[in-house]
Amino acid sequence: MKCAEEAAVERWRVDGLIRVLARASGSSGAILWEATEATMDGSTPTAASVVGLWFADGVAMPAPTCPDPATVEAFATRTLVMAAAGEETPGREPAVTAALPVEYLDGRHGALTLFGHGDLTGDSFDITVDLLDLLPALCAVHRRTIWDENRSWLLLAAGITAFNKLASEQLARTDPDDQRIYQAAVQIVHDVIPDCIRCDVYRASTGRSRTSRLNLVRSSDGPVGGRRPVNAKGGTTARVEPRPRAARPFAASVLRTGQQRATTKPEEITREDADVDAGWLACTPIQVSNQPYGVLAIFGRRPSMPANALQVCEIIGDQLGLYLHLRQALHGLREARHTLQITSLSQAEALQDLEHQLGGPLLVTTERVDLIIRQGRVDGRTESQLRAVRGLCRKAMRVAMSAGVFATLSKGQPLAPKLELLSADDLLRLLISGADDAQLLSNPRRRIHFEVEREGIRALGRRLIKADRSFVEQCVGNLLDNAAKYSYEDNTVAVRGVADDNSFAVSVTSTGLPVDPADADRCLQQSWRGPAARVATGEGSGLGLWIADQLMRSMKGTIRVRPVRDTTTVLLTFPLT
Amino acid sequence: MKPFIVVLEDDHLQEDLLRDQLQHAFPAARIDTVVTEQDFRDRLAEFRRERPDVIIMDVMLRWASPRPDAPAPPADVASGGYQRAGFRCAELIFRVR
Repeated sequence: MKCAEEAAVERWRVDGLIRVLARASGSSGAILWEATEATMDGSTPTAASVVGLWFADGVAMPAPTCPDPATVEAFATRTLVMAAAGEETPGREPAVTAALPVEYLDGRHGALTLFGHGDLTGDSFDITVDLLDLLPALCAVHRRTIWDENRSWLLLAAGITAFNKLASEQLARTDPDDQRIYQAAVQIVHDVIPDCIRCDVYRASTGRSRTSRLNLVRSSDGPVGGRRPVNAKGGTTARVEPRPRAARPFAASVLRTGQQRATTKPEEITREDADVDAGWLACTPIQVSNQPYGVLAIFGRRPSMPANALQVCEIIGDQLGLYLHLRQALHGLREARHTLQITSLSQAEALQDLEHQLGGPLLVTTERVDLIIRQGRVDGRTESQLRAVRGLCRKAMRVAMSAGVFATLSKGQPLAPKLELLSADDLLRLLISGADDAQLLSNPRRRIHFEVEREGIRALGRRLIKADRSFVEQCVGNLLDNAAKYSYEDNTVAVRGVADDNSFAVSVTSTGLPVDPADADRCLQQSWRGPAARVATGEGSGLGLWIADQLMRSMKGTIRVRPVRDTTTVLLTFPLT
Repeated sequence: MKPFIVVLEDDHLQEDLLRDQLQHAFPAARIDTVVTEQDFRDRLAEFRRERPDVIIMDVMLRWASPRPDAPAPPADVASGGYQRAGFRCAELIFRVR
């Protein structure tokens, strides 16, 4: 409905225009045509349609379906065609008296057919003809202006698209080539503003201060500081040094204020650069928010600046600013990442060294205490204290080993298990030792009991598993530590064995703080702790299960967490040899 | 007059050692142990009535021992975490004084 209304308004306007032209020429009616199809050379329309018509009151003329011969000739010759005069007979329908060519803004041909009862003569007709003669030229100028402006925006859009693509490519590199970016920006200016005779890109010399000096980094001549081959007369190539650039007060003022400026004053242009013969100068700051990076300067030939020059200058300046800002930010991020990597590496190395320094004395202490206990020359109370000391030393060794594993993985290095074949008895000894230590170290007031179900372990039979003994001790120790930490009082932590044809699993089952089944896999993530564990139970780094997972993977095994309400079972599964 | 010493420590190994050493140094002292922040808060009224002479306070302390029916910790504990438990207890004691 709206389109029909708009079409009706448009038609009313056209009819009004036709009425004015007809009456001005002394006609009693007029029809405006447009060509709907054209021949190859556009001279003769193969079809024409009526754009609008007007006839004086009392004259009823149906809209013709095709143009009369005079109009067709006007279409073909693009000149005024006077039709043969008819007899002036009152009451008779007006006849075609003249046909004039019309040029539409979109380049299509048209014609205006005038009607009357006799020859059209007089000043008014002559003026109308002259006006219609001028109109095409005016329309052509206007159309060219619009077309030129549209073309420049199309070129700008294409140029910016290519610029952004180039900027993306350069920003992806660790060492972007800024000159290619400047060159692209300068090229866009020349493409979009044909009147431009020179485009300069300046960068602020130090930091991002508005009082920095401006250094010319790119000009229409090429990169500044390099050589440009120039074809001299006779075809030989001569090399020309770029001319030194003096201070640029106009550009400097733009950097200082952060505001775009333009001038057509010869003295300002000469002060800026006495060597350039320009009619106008436009400068725009290259900046992002309030951070200045430089200035873009454009010199043009004509005495007046093209209508879109300032806007184009601003758009390209903004693109340059965005590129430079992103480049700087990316550079900072890369440096920060590099620093973090170095810091992380040095911290990992320090941890490994500490593990080594701790591990040795602890191992010796454990062995010596073990020796004393085995010698059996101490009383019961002393023996139980020595067992506690031995358990503490083993726990300390596990913590030191965890630090070492963490450091190795932080450096991106793989763990290197020392694999050996372990039998059911080896496993049983290891598990019983771990359970004893856990029992000794657990708080007696909480009455948590650690139990190893031997039959399940012996189900391994004569088969063997290939594993690193210290890794297995570490994994089991971490699981028992967790069980001690999170179990409810008066509960049993059960250590069992589960065997099938291809694998053997050691399971640790405890009843305590529940694990959400949705978090079963997250438990194995580095530094993850459940919300209840984080608040209720105090110390814990969230590394125990993650380290166990890494150790098991290095031995081609797996770890799984299976929570069922308050009961949690953790399985360490080893492939059988 | 017997000195009254309260030891606030959740690690039973350290608490045992500390208790032994304190008892050895102050044979006549009365030594009480509190193992969680929740226990400490529960006994605040008691400490108001009978003020300890010395409180040896661990900074990082668990809120409570795992229990099936344990209520959710208060908001200041949930937001501050166990790392600041000792400071929270110290503030509570100063308010009591």
